[in-house]
Amino acid sequence: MKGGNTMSVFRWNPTHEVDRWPSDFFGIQREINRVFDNFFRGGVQADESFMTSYWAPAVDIAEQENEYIVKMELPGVNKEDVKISLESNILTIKGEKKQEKEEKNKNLHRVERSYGSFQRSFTLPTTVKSDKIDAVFMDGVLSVSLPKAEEAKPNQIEVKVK
Amino acid sequence: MDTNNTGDLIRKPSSALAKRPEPLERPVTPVADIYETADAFVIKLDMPGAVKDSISVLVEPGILAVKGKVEPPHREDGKLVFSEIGSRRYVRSFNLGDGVDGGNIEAKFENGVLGITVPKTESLKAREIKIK
Repeated sequence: MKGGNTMSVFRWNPTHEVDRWPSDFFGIQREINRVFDNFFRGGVQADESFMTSYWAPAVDIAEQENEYIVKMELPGVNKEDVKISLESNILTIKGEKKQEKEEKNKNLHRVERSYGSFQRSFTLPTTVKSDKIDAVFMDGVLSVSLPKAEEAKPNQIEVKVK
Repeated sequence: MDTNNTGDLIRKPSSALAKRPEPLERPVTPVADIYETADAFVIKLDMPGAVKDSISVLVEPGILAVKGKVEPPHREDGKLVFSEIGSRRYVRSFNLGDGVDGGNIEAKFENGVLGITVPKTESLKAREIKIK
């Protein structure tokens, strides 16, 4: 891997570094990582700054008639390590991805996954029922549903002309 | 809608992005950690949202290949107002060197992470040589 111990704290895009050549295995171009055949050279040691780096998980936000649904990719994050809060229409999801003990101090060959604290905030365009926010965590994806408050839904008001 | 500061605001995708037709399933290379224990190589791949039954780990001489499908996001969830994830499927493969036991590879999908254990053959394991 490039850079040795000065590994950058940015989310690494592995497609920039791996070798590519075509194959009919999947019928599409395939990416091969020369890892196992190089193990005698010794593993790549990730340095501390990488481990404690700050990362921003990817998010999709969908709007329905009655609610917003926020989906965040958090593979390998424990449910207990995620905190969701809402303060004056700003939704904040934060937490920490801890590295498993078995992974620490092992002979690391490749570290592409992100670890450490993450936090993202989103300003919601309408008020939501803060007491009805619901969250589900499944297969590494956090889904937060935020029902819109009544006053946020479009309604018609009749005004009498005197 | 106004985007009034530099944070993550709900905003409409830029017109350039909106015009480009998005392919239904973008192939994505899942990020991986690889480490070595005394007995095996361990690969951990981040595959959030992958459907467990759709994940396959294929081993042929010298190659280990992983693929997996993701449920299309928000099919009935209304319209996407902010999207960084989108529709995708996961594809990645690795070279297997000599000295790994291709017949006893194990895989487990948990919390969006696919863990693959590739055992070493006896010839690769560290051992102590007795002095005669």
